[in-house]
Amino acid sequence: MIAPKGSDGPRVRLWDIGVRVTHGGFIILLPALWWSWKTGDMEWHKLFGIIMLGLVAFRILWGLVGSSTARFSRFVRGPAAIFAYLRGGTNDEQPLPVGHNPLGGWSVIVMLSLLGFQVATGLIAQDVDGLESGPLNHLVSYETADAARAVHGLIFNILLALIALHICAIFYYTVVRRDSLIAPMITGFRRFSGRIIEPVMASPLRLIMCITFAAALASWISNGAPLPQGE
Amino acid sequence: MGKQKGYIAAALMVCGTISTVAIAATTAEIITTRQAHFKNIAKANKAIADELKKPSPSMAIIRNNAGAITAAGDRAFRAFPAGSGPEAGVKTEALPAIWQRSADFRTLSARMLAASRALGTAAGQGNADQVRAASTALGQSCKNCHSSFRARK
Repeated sequence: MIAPKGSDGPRVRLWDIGVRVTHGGFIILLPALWWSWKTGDMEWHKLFGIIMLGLVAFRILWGLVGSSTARFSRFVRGPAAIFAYLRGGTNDEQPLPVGHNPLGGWSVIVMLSLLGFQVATGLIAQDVDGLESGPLNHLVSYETADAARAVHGLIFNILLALIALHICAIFYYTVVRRDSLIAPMITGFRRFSGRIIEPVMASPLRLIMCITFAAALASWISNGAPLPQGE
Repeated sequence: MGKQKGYIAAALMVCGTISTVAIAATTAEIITTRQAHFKNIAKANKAIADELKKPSPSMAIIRNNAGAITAAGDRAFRAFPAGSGPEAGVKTEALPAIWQRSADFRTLSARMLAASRALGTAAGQGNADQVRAASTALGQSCKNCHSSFRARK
């Protein structure tokens, strides 16, 4: 968070429903995906994977056209902004933007990219027997699908490391900086002291359009991405 | 006569030594070849699954691949001589249970071959629903055996 926290400041709507539900979905889906794979229940694994695909697709769309705190253009910053943030040099005179800090913004990008690659490799991967396979497995060769399985396993481990880092950062903010990031991610609201730039929330219509598009994409891909058949 | 017996005995000993050496030298080869057979089964499985995803699957491709599975399976199941398990020191997922409960292993192997033949027959008859059912049954026969006899990663 860039803007100073404060229990006395006005209550600001920080994270919209789209950001919170997507984030909550990742928290629920990742262990579910791991468990379904571990127990060999690939039907559930594929279903969870398709839901993950829908969430990632939605979050990318939402990062382009969603509420201001969800948009990539608002929180993806260059190295200068990151170093300034790390040095703690904030200017109290200026009203501050709220949302992901310059470092956290990149964490969102990396996490979302990894989830995207994870879904993509899962779509084409197959098990060692060629019995269980992702819905787009028929579009690639046996060798490519085998390689995708290996990459799928590798990305999962990178994701685990990143999630561990993410949890450590939340813990650091909660304990050391006495700033709970968890409550706003659940309720969507947060209090700020000092002058801030109020986030602009996207309209429900826009939310519904993004959800519809992401759901349609996930459904089409889960059916093997069929193209219209010319008779 | 005694001299001749001596020659025969010597020849047998030489043969015995050679064959022992040969077996020792080829355990790794047996395992690699066996794995190649299973890999061919997996490839044929994918080819069948690819067909079954199409609006009108080619029965000829499915039948050919079912035949390839039967042939590769038959060769693979003959390639489990005693001593070709984890004790061979070669990377293998074959569990000692294959040799400890060899009757069960043979039963499940036979079922798999029966399932791949049934898939070939169904493809020959050309009924897509029967082919789908036979393909699922074949996959299940693979899993039934792997769950007891192959190491899980």
